[in-house]
Amino acid sequence: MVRPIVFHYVLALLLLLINGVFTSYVAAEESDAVRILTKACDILATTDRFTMLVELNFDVVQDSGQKIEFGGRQEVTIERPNHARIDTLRRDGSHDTIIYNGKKVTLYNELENVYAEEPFSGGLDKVFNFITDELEIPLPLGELLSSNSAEILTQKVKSAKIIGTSVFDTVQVQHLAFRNDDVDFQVWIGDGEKPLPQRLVIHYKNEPGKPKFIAHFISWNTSPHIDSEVFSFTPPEEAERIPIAVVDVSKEMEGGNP
Amino acid sequence: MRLPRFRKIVLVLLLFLPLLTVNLSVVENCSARAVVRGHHVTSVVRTGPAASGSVHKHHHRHKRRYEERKDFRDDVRRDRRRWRVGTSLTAAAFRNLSCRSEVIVIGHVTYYRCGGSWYRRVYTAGTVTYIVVEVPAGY
Repeated sequence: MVRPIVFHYVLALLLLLINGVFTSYVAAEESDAVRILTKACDILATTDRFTMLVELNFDVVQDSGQKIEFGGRQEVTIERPNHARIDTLRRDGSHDTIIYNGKKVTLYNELENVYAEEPFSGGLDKVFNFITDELEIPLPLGELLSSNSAEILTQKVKSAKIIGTSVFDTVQVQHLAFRNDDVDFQVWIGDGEKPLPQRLVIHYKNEPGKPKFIAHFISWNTSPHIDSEVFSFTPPEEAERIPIAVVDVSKEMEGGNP
Repeated sequence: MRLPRFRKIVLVLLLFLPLLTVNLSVVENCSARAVVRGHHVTSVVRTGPAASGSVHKHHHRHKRRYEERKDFRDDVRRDRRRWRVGTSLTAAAFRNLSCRSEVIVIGHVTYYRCGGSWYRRVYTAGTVTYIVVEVPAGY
C-alpha cells in the first residue's frame, strides 16, 4: 500500500517541477521579447537626430461594417530636443507637412497652398501630446518617437512572445508579438548594431470591425545631415493662412477617395 | 394540398428571398458608384476615424475633451476656433463636386460658393477640409 502513495507524491512533485520550469521558460521568453523592444525604443530615445521613411496603411470601418484601407508614405525628421518635421504623402495625392521648430507648430498643405500656425514651446514629447490632444492631429507613430516609448509600448502588456526570425529584403529581424487589453500588436525588429523596428502591425480587437494599422519602415538614418531649412517655413506666394478647427466629435467627415 | 395561410406566406417569402437579396446588392452597388450627385454627396465614404497607430485606447481622453468643448465651443483660443462643424468635405471630395465653385475673397479669407452653399477651408484632424459656413454679411 505504501508504494502507490509514494508514487503519487513523486508524480505530483514531478508535475510541479515541470510546471515551474515551463512557467520560468515562458517568463524568460516574455522578458526577452520586452527586452528586444525596449532596446529598440531606447536607441530611438537616445539618438539625437534621425530620419525615417515609413509606409502607412490603416483601416477605416464604414457604417456598413466594410473596412476600407487608406494610407500613405511618411517621412519623419527628428532633431532632439525640440525640432521635428513630418511630411505625409497621402494616396489621394495630398502632401501635408508638420514642422515644429521649438517655437511654433506649422501645418502646410502644398496642393491647397494653405498653412496654419500655433505657437508652442517645449520638448518633443510635449509637442507630440499638444498636436494629438489639442490640435487633434493623429500622429500614428508618436508613441514610438517619444522619449519614453519603451514604457508606453510595454505598459499593461499581458503577453509577450518571440515568434521567430524573419527576413525583410536583406534585413534579418526578430518577430515579436504582444497583447494588452486594448490591442494585439506585432513588431519586427532588425538584428545588428542598431536593432530598429522594421514593421509594426496593430489589431484593434475591441473596436467595431477590428480595424488594423500597419507601419512598414522603409529606411532609417541615425546619422543624417539635416539642413536647418528643414525646420523653417516661409509661406509661399499667395498661400492662405487658415484656422485649425477642433471638430465636434459627434460629427464625422464626409466624402473623399482612398 | 391545402396549406394554412401563414405557411403559404412563409413559402412565398422564401421563394422570393434570393431575388430580394440580388436587388438589394444592386442598389448598394449603384449607391457606391454614385458618390456625388449635383453638389450633394449622396454616398459617404468615411475617411476617419482611422485605426490610429496607438497601442492604447484613448477614448476616455476624447470624452473628457468633448465635455470641455461643450462649454467653450465658440471660444477663440490663439488661431484655433472650437467650431461645431456641420457639413464638411475633404479637399478631394470638394474637387469632385459637380458644380463649378466661384472663388470669392473677403478680407483675408477665401470663400467658395458652390450652388447655394458657401465653403471655406480649415484644418481638421491635420487635413484641409472644406466646411459649409454662413453666407458672409452683404452677400
